[in-house]
Amino acid sequence: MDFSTIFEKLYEMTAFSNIAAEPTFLIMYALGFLFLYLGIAKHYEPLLLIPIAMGILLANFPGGEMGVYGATDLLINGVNYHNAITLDNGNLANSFLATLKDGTQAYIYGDPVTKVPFDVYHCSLPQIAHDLGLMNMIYYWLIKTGFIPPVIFMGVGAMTDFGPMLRNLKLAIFGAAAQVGIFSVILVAVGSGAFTPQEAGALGIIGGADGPTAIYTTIKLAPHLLGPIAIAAYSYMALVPVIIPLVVKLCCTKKELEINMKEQDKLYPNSIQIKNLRVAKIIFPIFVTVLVAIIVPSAVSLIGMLMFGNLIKEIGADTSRIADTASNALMNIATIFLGLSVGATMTVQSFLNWQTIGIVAGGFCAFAVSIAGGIFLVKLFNLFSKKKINPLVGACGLSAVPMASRVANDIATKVNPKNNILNYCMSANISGVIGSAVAAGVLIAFLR
Amino acid sequence: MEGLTPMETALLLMIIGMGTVFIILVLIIQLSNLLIRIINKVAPEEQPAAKKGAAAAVAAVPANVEAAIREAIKQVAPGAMVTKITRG
Repeated sequence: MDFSTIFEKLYEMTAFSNIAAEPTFLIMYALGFLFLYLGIAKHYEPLLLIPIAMGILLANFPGGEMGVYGATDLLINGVNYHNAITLDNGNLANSFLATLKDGTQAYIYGDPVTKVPFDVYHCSLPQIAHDLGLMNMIYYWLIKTGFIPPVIFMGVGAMTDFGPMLRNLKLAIFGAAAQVGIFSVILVAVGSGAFTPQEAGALGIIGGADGPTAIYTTIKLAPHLLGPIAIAAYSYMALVPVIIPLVVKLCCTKKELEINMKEQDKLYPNSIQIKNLRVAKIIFPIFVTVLVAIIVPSAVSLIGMLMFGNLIKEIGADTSRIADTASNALMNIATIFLGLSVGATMTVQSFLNWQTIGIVAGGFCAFAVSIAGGIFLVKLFNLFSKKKINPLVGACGLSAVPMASRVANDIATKVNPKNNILNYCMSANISGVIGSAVAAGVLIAFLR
Repeated sequence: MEGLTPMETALLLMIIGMGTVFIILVLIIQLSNLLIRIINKVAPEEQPAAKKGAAAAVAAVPANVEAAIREAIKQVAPGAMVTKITRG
């Protein structure tokens, strides 16, 4: 073996050879570094953006075997195989070269002798870990099964206080109006012809402004879009302090923003006062779970877990140990695995295409239309009601708890420093979480 | 959703989706109101927690002890002014 052969082998061993052969990897690195910068220096949702960014980097170093392979149906030699995996190269022992429907050749994960692709859902976890790497095992075990988002929802429930919603129940209706962005974007996305109804459903749910809901719906409807949709959902949630003021500026007059909710409450007081909030807070999650389970069973995995988390928090000392685990340790573990594996789904093949641009644009529209939807329902209410409501409350119907409420309160106090509307905003804000999970349930039930 | 064009599916989803979300939240609001009324009748009212510690802090220092403290401070640091003596 002469020196040139040794250097050639060394070159092939490192990632340089692959990067030189396919320079598009560099775009993914730039994206990874950008998200790292946004997470570390700009503090945009750091708990999620940083694991996602590292996931992107890990997945896109060729030879590292950390990228997640998506499972699709493949037509090979006239036979349709379910949940087959197309590999990047033929390095794996369990692979064979096959001609696909469009005439291109690709390495398929399967039995090299019989030339039959493996159905990845029927492979054992040790086999996936051994053949496809650890990240694929985590993805197919924790993410693809839809396990992680409900666990995160349980933690969110254990950190949520439904008190402001119970005190201002009427305002909760704006959490419904602010889901209009989800369905409008589905309509436009389907109309454009670039997305199937399932893909459009996953895209539209970004407008629910709720990370776990968006991820859960995408896993169920269009798992191949998981990376870009999760990125868009969390990026726009981080940008709520920019998007809400923008939409409010376009839709509201200064006079409307000056509406003082506390004064309105004094003029027209609520008909009932809660005498025992503690009991109400304990019964509320049980009652919502039963109600949603009866009407939209497909939303129960999200709402049920949210309400379970909330119940163990509200019971207090008797269940404080599990409430603590749900909202801290367990949720953090779930967040780590979710972030890393969602990042790892963003390989060159799955991310660099026109659909990603559509998702980034569509996600923004879904957000903006949802905010406007809440605002306009408030305006409609104000036309007919003596008791006026500040349109900023409607803008908070878009989940993103509690950031949306804080941003809305900031806008209100800027106009009038004495006008503190945080508690009123929280009512619409929390009901928005229920609203978007119900919307997700409807999408899953009809499109799956 | 079979037999419908994608556009018809999307329109139908919009109507069913928004309808369901509104129905569920209206039900939650109305039934929660009912729930609160029942709780107000059945469950006893919450007692505001008694303020602890407030009484202890105000407890006066006996006059003879206060005089002794003032005298001691005057001897150790002449010119110093004692403004308040309270029990810890």
